Amino acid sequence: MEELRNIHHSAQEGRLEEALLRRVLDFARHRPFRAFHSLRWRLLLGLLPVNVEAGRHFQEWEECTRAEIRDWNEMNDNLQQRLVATDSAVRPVEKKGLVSKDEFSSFSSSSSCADDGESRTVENPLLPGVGSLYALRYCVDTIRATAQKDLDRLHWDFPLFEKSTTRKALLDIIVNYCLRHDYGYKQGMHEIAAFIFYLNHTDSALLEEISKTPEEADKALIDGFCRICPINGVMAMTFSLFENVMGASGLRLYEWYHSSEEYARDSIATASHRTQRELLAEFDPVLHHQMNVVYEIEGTSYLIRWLRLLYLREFSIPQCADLWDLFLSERFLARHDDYTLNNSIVTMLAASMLFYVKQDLMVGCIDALKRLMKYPPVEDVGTLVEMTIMQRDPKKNGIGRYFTPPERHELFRAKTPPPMEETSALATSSALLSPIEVMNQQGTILASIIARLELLWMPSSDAMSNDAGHAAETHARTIEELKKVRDVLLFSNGSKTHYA
Amino acid sequence: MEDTNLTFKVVIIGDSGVGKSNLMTRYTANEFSQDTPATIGVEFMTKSIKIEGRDAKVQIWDTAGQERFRAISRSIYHGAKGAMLVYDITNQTSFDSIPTWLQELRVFVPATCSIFLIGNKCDLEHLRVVKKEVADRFARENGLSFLETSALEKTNVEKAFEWLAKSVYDLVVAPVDAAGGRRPPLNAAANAKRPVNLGASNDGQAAGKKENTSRCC
Repeated sequence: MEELRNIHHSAQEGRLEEALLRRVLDFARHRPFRAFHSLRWRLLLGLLPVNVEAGRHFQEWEECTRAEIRDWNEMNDNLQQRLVATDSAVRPVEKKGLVSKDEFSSFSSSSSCADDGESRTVENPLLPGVGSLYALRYCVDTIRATAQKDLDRLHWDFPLFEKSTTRKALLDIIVNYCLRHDYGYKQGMHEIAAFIFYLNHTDSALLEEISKTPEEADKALIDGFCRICPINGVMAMTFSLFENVMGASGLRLYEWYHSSEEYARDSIATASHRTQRELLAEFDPVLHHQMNVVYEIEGTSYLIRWLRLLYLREFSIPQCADLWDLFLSERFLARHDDYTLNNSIVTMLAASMLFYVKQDLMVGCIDALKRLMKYPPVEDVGTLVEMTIMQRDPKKNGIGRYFTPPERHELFRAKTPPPMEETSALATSSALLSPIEVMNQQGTILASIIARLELLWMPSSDAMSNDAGHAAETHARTIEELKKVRDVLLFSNGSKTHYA
Repeated sequence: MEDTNLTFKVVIIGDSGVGKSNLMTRYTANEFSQDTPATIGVEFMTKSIKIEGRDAKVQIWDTAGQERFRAISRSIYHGAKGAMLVYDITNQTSFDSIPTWLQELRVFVPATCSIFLIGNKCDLEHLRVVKKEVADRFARENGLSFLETSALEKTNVEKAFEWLAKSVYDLVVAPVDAAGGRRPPLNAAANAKRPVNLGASNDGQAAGKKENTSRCC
């Protein structure tokens, strides 16, 4: 409810853009999973307009939602009807079995007249023309066969995905997307679509649940949002979001799934190499050298999965929702400027992830590969987001302006090495933490503190009223954090104890 | 001087859904899952074994069945000394794709790479559509070793990987040892014919027949 109130009030006051970005990129506050991520993303991708006239947001968003549902229904119904037409066109042959040439022509003509008004000529099913029903059937069957197999082995532990209706919905979304854009189905697209479907469904179901027992003061608010996130519009909203995440007007994820030529340099390969070579070198030259020169690990071996799935297999579902908030915020801020996925915060996050598990990666090539194939659970992705944004926008001119870093004590805890399976391994891992690395980590923390102080020093007019009340609290917290950094740097024994 | 850090790379390729990932997990961790998600990119596992009394480590790279003719293939195949071409005996299309996979493989791996043809899911005999004789003939015509497996029932999985490891050792490691540790001339290596292990094939056939007999009982 807090989320809906925030969106509603800031839209009413005509300052939705600023408020939305600050809220979406606030990693200091508790981030509940049921924060209406799908609604945020529709706003950030422009599917729901952000620059609405003050007070007219419900009306405009409702119109956009109805248009989305209408477009989806038209497209999907049209496809289903054409497929039915194909079935009936084939039926005479099936009934007759062996037929003479004349009989076949006769039945085919009759069938064509009855079922397909667009064409009165006999169609050779072995040589389908462009746009013919047979070609359509073949395309649909090809996509369905592969996607169905992948959806059947998508075993997310949610009751929603055990329903056959969910599988069918996702299959329809994928088929319609591939046909509309003339793409083949590629493995991984099913998980992107499933993730978006899940969040849309979760948000709409939550709204429907709330609407049954609303607080009187919130009734109008809830009714408005129920029409913007209707439970019967989940497929339409999912298709629209999926199309935009994949498409040129959105994240352009399609660049990492399809390439124009058979042997052309894949965009995904380029992104992988760039991440492990250029971006990692910016983060940590030692780790860069170890990965690329000593180990000669190919970035494509693990980054194809990380990048194509936007980290869905590396982090939990709620954590991925938070990460996508980051990716789509960057996309929003890029507006109509050139946005290149290969040079986006998505790839920079991968470099942060490598740096974050540096100790594991330095042990040896085999251990490094195993760690890359199975990234360790992270307690708070806010830490990774912070590292990524600091590297990406150190002067806070862009996305950094809206970002609030996680609480420091969490950062301290998150900075400790990931839990190891054996105690001896833990001891070994601690021993590997050299003084230089300790200084690097503390330096990162100091930079974060300084960045926050700079933000306080020159707050924006909107932030002023909010931050003034918390200035003292922030001041006290900052002093506390600086003391911790001092202790770590001055007492080396303490640092080992801390990380053990 | 013996090399006690013997390591070699094996890639597993084939159409999507034929059971590549379960072959790998069955061999390395003795795990089978009906819930294995589609492989995106590659997966990697290792297994420590002994060949000819020596310690060795096999690096197994399991690939996504949909990736073909891409720049990414080059890096995945780079350095592979062994390969498994996997098809599903209940899926004719997956066997029909084998020539394409073999063609791609030969572009990226050296002539000394040991290639095995693996017909997986042999527990589903009642759904079989690819005759064993057809696959065996294809293997012989193309210089491949051939074996049918079941990752589900753990049939021939261990044997397949051990054969592959032994074959790699015989083709790549042993000649280096025989030459006193020096690398053989490149042209000699390039011209070396890949011997077909007839003895192993015969054993395989015999084993297959025995299994068929036991299944009938």
